[in-house]
Amino acid sequence: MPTTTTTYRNILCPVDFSAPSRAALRAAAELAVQFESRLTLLHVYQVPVLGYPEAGPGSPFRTSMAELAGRDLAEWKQEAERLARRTVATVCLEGVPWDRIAKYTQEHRPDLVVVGTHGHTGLMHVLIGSVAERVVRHAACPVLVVRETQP
Amino acid sequence: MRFARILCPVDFSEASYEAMLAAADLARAFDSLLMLVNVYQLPVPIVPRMALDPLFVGAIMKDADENLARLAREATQLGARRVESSRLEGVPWDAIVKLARDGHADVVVMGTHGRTGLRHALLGSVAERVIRHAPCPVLVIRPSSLARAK
Repeated sequence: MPTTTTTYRNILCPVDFSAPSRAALRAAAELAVQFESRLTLLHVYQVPVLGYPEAGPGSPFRTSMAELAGRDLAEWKQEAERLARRTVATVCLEGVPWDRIAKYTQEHRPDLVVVGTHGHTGLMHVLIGSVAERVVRHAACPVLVVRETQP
Repeated sequence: MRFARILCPVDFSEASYEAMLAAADLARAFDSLLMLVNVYQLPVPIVPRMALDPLFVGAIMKDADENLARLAREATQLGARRVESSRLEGVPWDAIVKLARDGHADVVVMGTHGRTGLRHALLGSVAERVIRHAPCPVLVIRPSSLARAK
């Protein structure tokens, strides 16, 4: 009798506080309940720093971005804990989102990544690209791509 | 978000086998209906008077049916209580998206790569297109042999 080969012990859910991210969070929480997994929310914020000395390390600008991100993440942690019925870990990092997320998955090796997609197609897709697709390309584990739930 | 209806497109590649394993696990956990589907494309005759040898087509169909039955059996053994399998001809990504929509799939579980295509590509073209156009969440599974290389 073949045994289960897939277990989602550790689920990573990168979030950007958008509606698709909320859908991803709900999916991740649902899976965490079913598989009794550890759930981690990851938020990566990007500080536009090109040529702006005011946005350098230790600057008030950078500090307030970190604080704002942290505050939003704390709210999402509460919601996640309510849905997943367990403590949820949070990680807040600065950097280029898709790159930072990819590196995080390579370093921490979650069993599953659940990420939202904005579903841009056509020209928007070409110009903006897709963080979700880049995460899929660079993750070493299964990735669940969730779109904003239809009303 | 209930994963009650799972669509698992398969092409009998390593990745799609692993996708079936993941789909079967989900089906067991959520007591879902697991729909295994093989979308195939028959080669188009190049010369107008050339026709596909019915024996050749028949052999492909028989092979697909046997492989589908094998996957369905294994999915059942892994705990998926309701498994349906079918095959159809079509452009894979398009057929999968339509099946997800018309079949009211709650999730599509598929491999990142298929049997054809470029091994070194990070994401196969069928998976990429399904992710982009599917009406529901898509769970992509990277075959172990490629994942280990990372």
